[in-house]
Amino acid sequence: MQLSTRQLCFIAGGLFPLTKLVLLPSVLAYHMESDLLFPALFLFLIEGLVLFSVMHLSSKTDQTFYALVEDRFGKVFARILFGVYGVYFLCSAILPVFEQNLLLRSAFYDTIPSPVIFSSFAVLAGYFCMKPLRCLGRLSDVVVPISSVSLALLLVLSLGTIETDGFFPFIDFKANRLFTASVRALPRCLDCAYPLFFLGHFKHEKGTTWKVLLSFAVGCIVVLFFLFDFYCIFSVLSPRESSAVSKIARYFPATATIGRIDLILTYLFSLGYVLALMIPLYLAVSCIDVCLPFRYTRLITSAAITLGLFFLYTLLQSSLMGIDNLIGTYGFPVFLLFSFVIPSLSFFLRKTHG
Amino acid sequence: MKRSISENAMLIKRRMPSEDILSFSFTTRNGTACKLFYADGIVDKEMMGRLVITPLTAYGGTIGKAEIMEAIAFPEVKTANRMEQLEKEIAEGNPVLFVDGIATGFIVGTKKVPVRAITEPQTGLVTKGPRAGFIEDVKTNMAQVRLRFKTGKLRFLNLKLGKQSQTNVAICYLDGIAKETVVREIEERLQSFEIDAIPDSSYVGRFLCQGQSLFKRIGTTEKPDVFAARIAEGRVGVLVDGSPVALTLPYLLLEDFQSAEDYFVNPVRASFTRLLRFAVATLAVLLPALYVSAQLFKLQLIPLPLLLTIASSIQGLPLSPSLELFLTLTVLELLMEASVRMPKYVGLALSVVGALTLGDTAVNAGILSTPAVILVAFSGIALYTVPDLVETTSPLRLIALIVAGSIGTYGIVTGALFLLVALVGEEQYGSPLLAPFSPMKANDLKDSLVRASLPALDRRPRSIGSKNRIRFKETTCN
Repeated sequence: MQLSTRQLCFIAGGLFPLTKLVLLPSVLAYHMESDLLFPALFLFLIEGLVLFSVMHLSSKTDQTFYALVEDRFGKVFARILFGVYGVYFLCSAILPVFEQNLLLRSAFYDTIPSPVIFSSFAVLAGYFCMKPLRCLGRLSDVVVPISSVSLALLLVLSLGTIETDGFFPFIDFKANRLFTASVRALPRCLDCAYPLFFLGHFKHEKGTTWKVLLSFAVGCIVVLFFLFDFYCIFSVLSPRESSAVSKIARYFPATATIGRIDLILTYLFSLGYVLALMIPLYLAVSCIDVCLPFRYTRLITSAAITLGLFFLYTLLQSSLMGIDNLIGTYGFPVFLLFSFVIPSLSFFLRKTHG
Repeated sequence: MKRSISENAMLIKRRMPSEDILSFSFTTRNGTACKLFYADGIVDKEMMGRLVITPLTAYGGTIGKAEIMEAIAFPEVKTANRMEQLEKEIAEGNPVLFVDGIATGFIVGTKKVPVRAITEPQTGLVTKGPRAGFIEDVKTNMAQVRLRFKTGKLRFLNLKLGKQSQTNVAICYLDGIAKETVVREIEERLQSFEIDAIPDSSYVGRFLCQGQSLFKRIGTTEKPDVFAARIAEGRVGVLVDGSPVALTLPYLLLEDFQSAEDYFVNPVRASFTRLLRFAVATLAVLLPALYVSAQLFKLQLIPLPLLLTIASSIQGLPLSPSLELFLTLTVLELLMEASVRMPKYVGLALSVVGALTLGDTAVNAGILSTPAVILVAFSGIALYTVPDLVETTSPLRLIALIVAGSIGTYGIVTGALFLLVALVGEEQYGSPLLAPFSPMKANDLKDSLVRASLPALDRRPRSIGSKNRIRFKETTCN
């Protein structure tokens, strides 16, 4: 087996939340102001339900998702579906990957960095995509504890500067605002579909479903607390603070004398964040590899991803808001279908033996 | 083999015409001719005279194979009929006796190899704990291991490697504890390569690891106590004649952050020093890179008062920060390399040239800045807190510096991940290099960067995959 239950828990609880800590807080604050927790909670609940469905399916079968689809609908359909999923994962990865630019500008560079710096991510992603799934699990073993501790320390450092007055009362919103905020936040909450592609690569033992769900829930609680903390610090300025994680601890009093230790913590956090960004790219390569089972598909797709990412970044690095608007406005049904509906319905793919 | 002593002597001389192969002729009391062949310098001549020549010259009975064996009366006597084997034995240092009328060679085990005394190895000095070290003789090394395991379960598999050198190699393990598949795989790999000579155990190490890697993939030690402790954990050891460095497999990267002394001191102290070693080694690799990226890309990383000091010292420097650090590090590497190769009496001059001319004068001349020299000096010293990894950490430091100088801290983050992606996939003999951190083995973490008290270490490391996991049980005495 390529993944263990612990590694699944680390991925669900330690990597899934990380991509939600950069632009999502300011997007939610822009649409919901102090009620930003509600759309997040709403999305996390739906993600949790989908995750439960996938984990429940894993308890009933040892087969991979591909094998399940192939059994039910035949090889051609399974390959087409995986090809479509490959493209979907590539597209869904673009926004979070580009969001990274905000973190880079805020925490890594004093000036606007050259697009060349992005080449290191592109090469890393290409290299990672060539590795077996076991590599993701083992990386999570090392990286999740580091990024979790650094995130916890960032939150602790930020606690001294929070001002809760602006946050209360927070139950003052309309349903259409909740809907709009959820739709705009959706592109950052698509992780629940990933475990579907881990099916057959981990052994479902007694309690695995609950352990994974509990880990995911803990991750969600940390994100909710982060959102609360973020809004309490920046209040009405929150929509303008686009790289939340690198900014929440910047006002820690001791930084004047000991330097920006929050930046060091942000760099450690970035280890997990960059890994989390690479998961959809990895799944895209895996899906295309299944769709086109040739000897060098994985290598060629990984190389194409490296070059494609670098090219796209060079071309569109200053168009993040435009991409966000485009994907946020028109991507909703696609995300809903591939990340929520299909994974939920996949439960019915299993064959009942007996 | 012939019955005639002169023909046998001629055959041996033809096979071994070298001038250090000597012979000594004598006769028994009843006049039977005998001839001893031996390699000069590696035979205990006194013993040979006392055990072979004296009894046989006094012997006057009938001459036969059994009678000769009885007359010599020494446990390490064996016979052989093939010239190839006799040749090998002479080359190894065991004299061969020919007796006229007997078509057999008598091999007498009076080999005496010149060896140095057992001393404390320079690479593993301790303030507490055993001080013995391995030497170049494999038999002495095997004896040192045997003294630590007075049990029949300690097994040595002896091999001869090297087509010309015929080097003795011993695979050592504890039966019932080490994984048999690992023992078998090591034996198969060692027997599968053909090489002329094995000058050192590092040659054997190269053949035991597959593929290329910047990282070490085989454990090494010069201390019998460390070797024994690793064998007791379920690892397999390899001792090579002519080398004081023993190899142990499977290897975990963590091993090099641990020291023998950690087990002889308080667990709190041991944990503290291990964490310190890890932190300092990481800093040694990353600090020059962080300094450069802070100067070039993110000044906020440096506290303001320090930044002002640095700013005043780098004012007017002709070199960019990355080039400055790169040059200083290269000079440091050069000095270290030279100090190892240079004769000791020139060492003092090197220190003066290195420290004063290259350091102080370069700063005064405005070529280098003081912070850069301090940083490089710190990094140079800090790297040696984990001496066994210097071969890896030293190039990594230069790579990190180049990446930081061109991409900045983001390059360090992606570079670190790149390294991790490569390392998590590394596996030798079924043990992942980064275990017990990746894949995480909760029980093994008790003896990782922190060390629990000895009673808590009651299980052998799962990462090594030993057959018997119980290291010790607590028994109650009434």
